[in-house]
Amino acid sequence: MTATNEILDSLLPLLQTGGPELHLNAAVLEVAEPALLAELAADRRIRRYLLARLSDTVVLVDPGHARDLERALLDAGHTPKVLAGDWE
Amino acid sequence: MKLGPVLQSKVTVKVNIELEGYPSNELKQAARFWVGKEAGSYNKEKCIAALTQVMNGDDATRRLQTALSEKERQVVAIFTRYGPTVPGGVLTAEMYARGLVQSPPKDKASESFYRSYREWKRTDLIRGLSEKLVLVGSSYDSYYSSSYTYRYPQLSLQPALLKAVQPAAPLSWSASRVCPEAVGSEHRSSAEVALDLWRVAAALRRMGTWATVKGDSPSKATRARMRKEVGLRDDEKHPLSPPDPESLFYELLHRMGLLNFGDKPSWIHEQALQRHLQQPPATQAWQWVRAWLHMPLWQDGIGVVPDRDSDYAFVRIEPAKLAHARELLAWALSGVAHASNCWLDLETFLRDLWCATQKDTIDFYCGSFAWNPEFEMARKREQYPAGEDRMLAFWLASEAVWAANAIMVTLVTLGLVERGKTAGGKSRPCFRLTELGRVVFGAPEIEAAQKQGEARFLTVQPNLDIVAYLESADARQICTLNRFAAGAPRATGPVQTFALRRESLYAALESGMTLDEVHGFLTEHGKTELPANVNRMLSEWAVRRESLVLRTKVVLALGPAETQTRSRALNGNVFLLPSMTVKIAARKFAGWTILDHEDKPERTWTTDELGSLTTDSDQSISQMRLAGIADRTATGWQITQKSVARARVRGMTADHILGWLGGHLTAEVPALLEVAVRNWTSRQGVKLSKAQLLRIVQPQAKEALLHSATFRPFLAGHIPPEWFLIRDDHLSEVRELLERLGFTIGDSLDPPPLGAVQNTAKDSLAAIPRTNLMPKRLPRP
Repeated sequence: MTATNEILDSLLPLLQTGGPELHLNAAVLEVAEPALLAELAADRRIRRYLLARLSDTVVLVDPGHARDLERALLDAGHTPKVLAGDWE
Repeated sequence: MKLGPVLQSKVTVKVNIELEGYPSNELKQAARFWVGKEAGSYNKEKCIAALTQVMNGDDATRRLQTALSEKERQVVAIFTRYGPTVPGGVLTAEMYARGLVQSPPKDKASESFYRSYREWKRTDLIRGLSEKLVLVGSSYDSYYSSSYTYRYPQLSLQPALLKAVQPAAPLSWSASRVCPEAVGSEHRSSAEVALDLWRVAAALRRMGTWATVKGDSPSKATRARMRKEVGLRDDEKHPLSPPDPESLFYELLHRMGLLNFGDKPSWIHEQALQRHLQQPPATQAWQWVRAWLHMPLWQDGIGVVPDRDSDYAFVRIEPAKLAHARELLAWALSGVAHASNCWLDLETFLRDLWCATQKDTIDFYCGSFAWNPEFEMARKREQYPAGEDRMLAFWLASEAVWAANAIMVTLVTLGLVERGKTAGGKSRPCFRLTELGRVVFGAPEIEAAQKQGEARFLTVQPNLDIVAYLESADARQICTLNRFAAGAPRATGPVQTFALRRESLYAALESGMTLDEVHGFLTEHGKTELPANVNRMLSEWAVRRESLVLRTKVVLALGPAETQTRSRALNGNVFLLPSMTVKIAARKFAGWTILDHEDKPERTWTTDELGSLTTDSDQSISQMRLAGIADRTATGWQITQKSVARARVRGMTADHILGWLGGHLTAEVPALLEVAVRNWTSRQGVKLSKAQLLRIVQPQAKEALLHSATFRPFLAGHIPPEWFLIRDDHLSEVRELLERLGFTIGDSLDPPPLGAVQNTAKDSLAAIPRTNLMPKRLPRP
């Protein structure tokens, strides 16, 4: 396990499910590399809107807080590409 | 798009003639014209039937071509130019300018006046065509007009006749005097104007919604905010800058239908605005003038005016009279567009306008205007004897000042007029139409010249600034530039600087532009090559945006991989799926738990006042949230100071935690737990220590103690209505004093049980005159 993974696990644990789940109208944040996710998770203003990690580069956004997250990212100087309903 | 005359009626008026309301003889007269001589024997019903049939028939045009006299055809040609509806003022001016009507007899004292007047009325072409039902107006307009006899009402041409006659040729303005040259000339490019419009729209977009007053005009606060954010008025003291220019552009947006009012999240009609700004400059300017013609709540030389005005202390021009004035001015400028492009002396032009429209000229009451040119004739108005010249001199001192503001300020601001001063010793204001103004007012005969290729109007500097030469750009280009480069605040003038910033590029990319489009635009319109470092920065910024993607409204499957089709795996057990409805999801994923993130959270949590929490749900959102704010116990979960502190480290606030609790709990969040959560997330605290209390129930004794200078040093406070805090170190002195004053001191206090004390308003701290129990500080020597 790399240092980044350890940091990620402590800051943003993987999502645990009790059984198969289908999430509709969900919001996810995707980053190019795990280090960027660790950087975002370390920022309290952003972390508060992230619920759990789905992978090392994808995180599930706390339901109802996608707009807040977008604003927080912009305030923190990030320039996220915002896509609605598009995943391919 | 080929432009029509700027005064062309906005919509095709549905001319609805109530034939039943006409007298039989008038219907018979009209029927003889439309049907033929045989209609002379028709009764009323037959006349109506015949007229209805022929007016709606296909051969009405052919029939009328032979039935109309040459002069009548010329009148109809005015309607086919501007029509089908022509405003009364324009119609009157056109009729006189084309020599289709003579001035009515004036000498009412003359014996032959009534004979002359009857003859004048009998030969009036408009009256004749109205009687034949070729022209139709509202009965109110007709009555209003006939009582004055000089002016015609607003009339419409029978729709069937719109193609019967070729539109009239444009009239050319015959100026009494032209200026050979002008000095200190100023004009604005269409790009500058479009940029102002764009900036006002951008400020409104940032506001989202804004306060308005009656008539959907911006409120004072909105105007102040627009002024602060856009700041178009570069020099408050410049007499030729428009009053409240941001509101001028606001009203233009409003009248062009680019603003929405209601409960929509944003009041800017984005797509329509984009469509407008992508049109050729002349088309945009043509629409600005059309909006200006019917813009009642921003007035030239005055600014924003109220929707309602006092009948006595009025502050605005009556809207119908203003619309009439603007129409006449636009009519005159259409003539100017068709004359040679000379500088016109402003005062002379307005005197010519007065003469050309004397029968129905610009006429209203209004106090003062932002700029007063102090016309020569107006200054000497009192010297003229009663008569035409005196009336003209007074008109030049009042209504003409409005016209001067409209020409030299509003229309200059809109890029349609170039203003200057006559050369020579005694300089006078003069103007001419800009190229754009000639195209707009001269439409449809004068068309915009085709541009040779795309203009190179900007220079990108290595410091990421872009210098744009607005004279060489058109509105579309400058607005595209402003999409990805930020304009300098309060910038005006033909050369403006824009800044390429990460945020501005990001906003453009988010609005749908691509990096290639930005790059292509800068290369295509750049006077010089794009600096390498700028190119590199743009690419870096775009790549950085791509490295962080927020996807909303996606479908996530958290389950076995084999059940997924056409999906993107995020890890071994998590997939992104194409969007689907709840109904389809339930069918395709039978047996799965389906969670809609736009629904309210499931209410499965129960808790006590001390934060001991249980749930029977194993949904991931519920579990992850619990793990975020509580510690697991043998029986469920426990919210503790430590677990809340952990949540605080994650950036959660008390409201955030309480929001989760409020969303998932089956009942209200217990008040004590809420207080605890707030205490754990902030430094709120209470103070607890021993206190010596004195209770005096008798009102008179209580008041005496409160105001006693003797007791003041020993008292630490007063808890209304009957409790006094005694300083620890003075307890014995207070006891002695009370005994000396005859009080019997009890051994113990018997406070009433909690909830039994009624702390009425009259007893409250606020109601009792403040008594400072602390020793007064001595004044400094």
